[in-house]
Amino acid sequence: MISLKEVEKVYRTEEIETLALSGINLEIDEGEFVSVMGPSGSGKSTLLNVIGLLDEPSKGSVLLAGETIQGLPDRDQARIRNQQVGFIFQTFHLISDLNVIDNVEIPLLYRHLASFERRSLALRALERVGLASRVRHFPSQLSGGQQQRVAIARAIVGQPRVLLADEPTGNLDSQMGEEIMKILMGLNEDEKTTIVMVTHDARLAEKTERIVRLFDGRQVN
Amino acid sequence: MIKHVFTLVWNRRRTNALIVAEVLISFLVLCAVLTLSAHFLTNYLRPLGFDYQNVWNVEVSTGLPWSSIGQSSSMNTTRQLIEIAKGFPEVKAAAGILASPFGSSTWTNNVDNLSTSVMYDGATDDLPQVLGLELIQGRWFDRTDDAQNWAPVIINASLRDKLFGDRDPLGKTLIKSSEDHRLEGRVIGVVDDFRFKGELRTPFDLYFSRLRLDDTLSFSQPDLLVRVQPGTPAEFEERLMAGLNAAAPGWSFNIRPLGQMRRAQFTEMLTPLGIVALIAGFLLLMVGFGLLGVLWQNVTRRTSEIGLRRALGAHARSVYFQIVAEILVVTTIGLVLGTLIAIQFPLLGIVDDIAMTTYLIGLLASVGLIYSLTAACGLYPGWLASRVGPAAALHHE
Amino acid sequence: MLRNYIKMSLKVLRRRPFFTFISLFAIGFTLTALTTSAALIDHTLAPMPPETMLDRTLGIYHMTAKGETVQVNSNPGYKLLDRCIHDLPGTEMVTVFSSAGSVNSYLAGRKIESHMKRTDGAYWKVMHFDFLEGHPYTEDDDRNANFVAVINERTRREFFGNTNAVGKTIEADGQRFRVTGVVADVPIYRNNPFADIWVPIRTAKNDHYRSEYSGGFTGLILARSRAAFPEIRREFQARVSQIDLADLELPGVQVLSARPETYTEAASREILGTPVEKTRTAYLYACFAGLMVLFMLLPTISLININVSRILERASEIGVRKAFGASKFTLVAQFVTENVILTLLGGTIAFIASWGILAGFTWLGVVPYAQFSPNLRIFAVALAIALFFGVFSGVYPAWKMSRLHPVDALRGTTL
Repeated sequence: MISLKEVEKVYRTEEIETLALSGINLEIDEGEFVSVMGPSGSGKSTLLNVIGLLDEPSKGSVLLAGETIQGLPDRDQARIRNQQVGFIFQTFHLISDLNVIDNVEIPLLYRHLASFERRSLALRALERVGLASRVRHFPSQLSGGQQQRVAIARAIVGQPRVLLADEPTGNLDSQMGEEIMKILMGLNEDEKTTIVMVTHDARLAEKTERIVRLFDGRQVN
Repeated sequence: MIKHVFTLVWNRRRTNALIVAEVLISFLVLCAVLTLSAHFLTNYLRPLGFDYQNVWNVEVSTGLPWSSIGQSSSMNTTRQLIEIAKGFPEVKAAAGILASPFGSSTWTNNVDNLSTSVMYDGATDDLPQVLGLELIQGRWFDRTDDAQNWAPVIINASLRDKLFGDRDPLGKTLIKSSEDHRLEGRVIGVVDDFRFKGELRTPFDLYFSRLRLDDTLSFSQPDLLVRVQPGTPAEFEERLMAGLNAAAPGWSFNIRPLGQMRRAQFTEMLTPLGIVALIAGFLLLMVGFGLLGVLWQNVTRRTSEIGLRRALGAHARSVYFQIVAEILVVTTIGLVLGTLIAIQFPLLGIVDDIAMTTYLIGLLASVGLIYSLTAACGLYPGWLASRVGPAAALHHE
Repeated sequence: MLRNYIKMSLKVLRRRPFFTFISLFAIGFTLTALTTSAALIDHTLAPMPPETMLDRTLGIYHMTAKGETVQVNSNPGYKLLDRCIHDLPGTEMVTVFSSAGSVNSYLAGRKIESHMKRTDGAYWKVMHFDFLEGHPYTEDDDRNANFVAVINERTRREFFGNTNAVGKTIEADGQRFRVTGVVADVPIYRNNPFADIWVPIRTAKNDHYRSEYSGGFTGLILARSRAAFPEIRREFQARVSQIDLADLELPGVQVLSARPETYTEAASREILGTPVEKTRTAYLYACFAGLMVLFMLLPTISLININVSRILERASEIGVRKAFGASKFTLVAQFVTENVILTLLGGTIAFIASWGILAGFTWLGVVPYAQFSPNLRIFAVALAIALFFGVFSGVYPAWKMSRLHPVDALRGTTL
């Protein structure tokens, strides 16, 4: 499903070069639930961004669902992000001007679906995360756990084959974190969605099938 | 600190160049408006030198081809017209004049010992009675001048000061006889002033020559000025017109009170000023708008920096200063450039009509106005910035 | 999609009411100024009654006599027009008339000031005046120097109150005329038709004008079609060049020139101060357009600045949209749409405001007899200006926004 070969990522500023990732080789199969662990600055988020086409690797190749993704024009990258990938962020990143259902509909907007189709798909995704009763609320009226469930609904509404979660429980207390984890595991089991999750929490990581550890941008095993 | 602000300004020179241009343009326009207003006001406050109340101007058009204007037959008719006007009981005095007050025509001539040409006007013997001109030295034209072999002239006080200083001007020569001037022009009197071009115009040097109306006048047809009794109704205008029409059937006359001509002149001179003032207002609004844009960018771009400063204990006031400092520098650059340009106008003598002090008043007022605008624009974004909590800094990685 | 854009933009505009107000104010103000001036230009130059056939009319508005020591620039004299304007090829009609001169009338101790034009009979066929009563005077009236006059509505009101005027007599400039017709008021900035009183040329107090080559008159040539313009110009100028310069009674003149011009060409020449032969209407329009762009430049820059800030505030939103599949193009489209919505709002305000200003001008009588009213043409211009403004000030920030790296965008927080 996801295949990284000799991936390297260098950030350059005028004075210094920072090696964020180096020599990463990673194969993730369809339906796997993988955790990525490592201390701060070890390149976890960069790895996720590279897989999700938010960032381009400086060297090496990335295959997503059998497609090489480097060097694709912006329009095609956008299409792949839209159809293959769903993102979940630590700080939720809901758009505060839009209500719950409008937020969830965003990925569908870029698929040119009719508005009733978008509505029903978004409602189904919200039901899946148990928030069907809150569709008219605004993000600021929800608790952190609820906001993250909306964000998950947004990530799965387009039925992507890969979910990329960047510390999805990092801003939540442990009870809410458990809930979110339960949803993710359910998605992995029921829909066979491939999930890559960055986390600091060893207890959560142990629940996943495989743990990838990073240190200073390198894979350690 | 100041150096830091300058670095910021330099780093964003592309955006700032546009704002500098905005400030520069609006400053120049504002400067023009304020200088001109100050100029008009100082001119307005100085005495006019004559009384225009109850005086009517009779514009005379003979309908003659321009090559035959000023023939002696026309002058005879003109003299008759003055006599006809004087015959009415409503008329206190009447005179002929070359360039009427508040009118559009002016005449200039060269004078001995003066490099620039001097404004002059031609008038008959009755002009002081019509316009209430006061002589401060000597006398006005009269019949005794008929027999002289020199031409009498009357000068105003500023021309006297310029030519003769403290010496007695009476009997002195103003213009030597030459090819152009058959007769020598000799000063017989001094009037305080006669600002026939109107109150808003800068006072100027002037001399009068005598209109005799009994000879060929080679260049122009004089108009008539008529002083009527106070309270004379407009109905009299019709009778006066009928009298004039009867005496010169082929000619056309246009009677207008000087007061009305004065108002028309005010409108004519102040309307362009009003339009430029409107434009200046618009430009200022746009500058304010542009400054607000820059300020807001400052606040949004530097949220974390502001948050950090707050976390380190900076006061709301110092944050406000931090936000406003950049546009103050930008404004100052614009103003310095603008002043450098604006100062060229008096230095190069392009606007020599306007006194240097008036110019400086306009300049300083413009600078003050633009700085106040800058400070005012800082209020809302400054308030936004002061609301940035210390936590904002932490949100950033 | 568009509905979502609109919904989103309204929400964003509501978030920072202060800056929205400022933006709307600046846009509205700028567009009001532009729309109002466009309307004024339209009213001055566009064909409208009585000048309905302006597009196939040529005028001789200007003549130049030049020598080494003399130069006369003025409107043409009667003799010049009379000698050159008749029987030109491709013409339907010609008319010769004087400039509007100021004349006084006295009525029961009251003074009435008016503008008087002396015209030939054909004037009333070249111009399509709206006659409220009576009829124009004819070629015969002019030939026989009949003391007849056409007056406008204002003059009728001044002389006769609200009663009919045809058949009654008015006095003007010491002469008496019988009124044959009354026309609607024509604004002062329409040079050719404007006057308060029109009388036949030959009623003039003397006939000096008949021997003058310069000053006081205008001639209009109504061509059968615009296609005849070049031939008319060539023939007219050929006739002017055949005039014996000694006849001018102006010693030293070596060149005499006069050229039939369209109304806009004449306006270009007056405004730009270019010589007759070098006048180009396109140049005038380019100047108008250039001034408009200059005028819009400052607010555009400011609007761009504010828009960039609006975007920075929305960095996180941009990141999310990118992460969920918005391409650069989609984002640019979204932002430009938002900005166009803002400017259309401003444009609406501006259209209403300039409507008010023009109505105010008319009501206050700032310009005598002006009837400024917005028309479809002006609405179209206002819309075009607003759209141009919106796209212009939206594209740069939108492009900048779309280039924002999603990782950086997501890292940023909102204020």
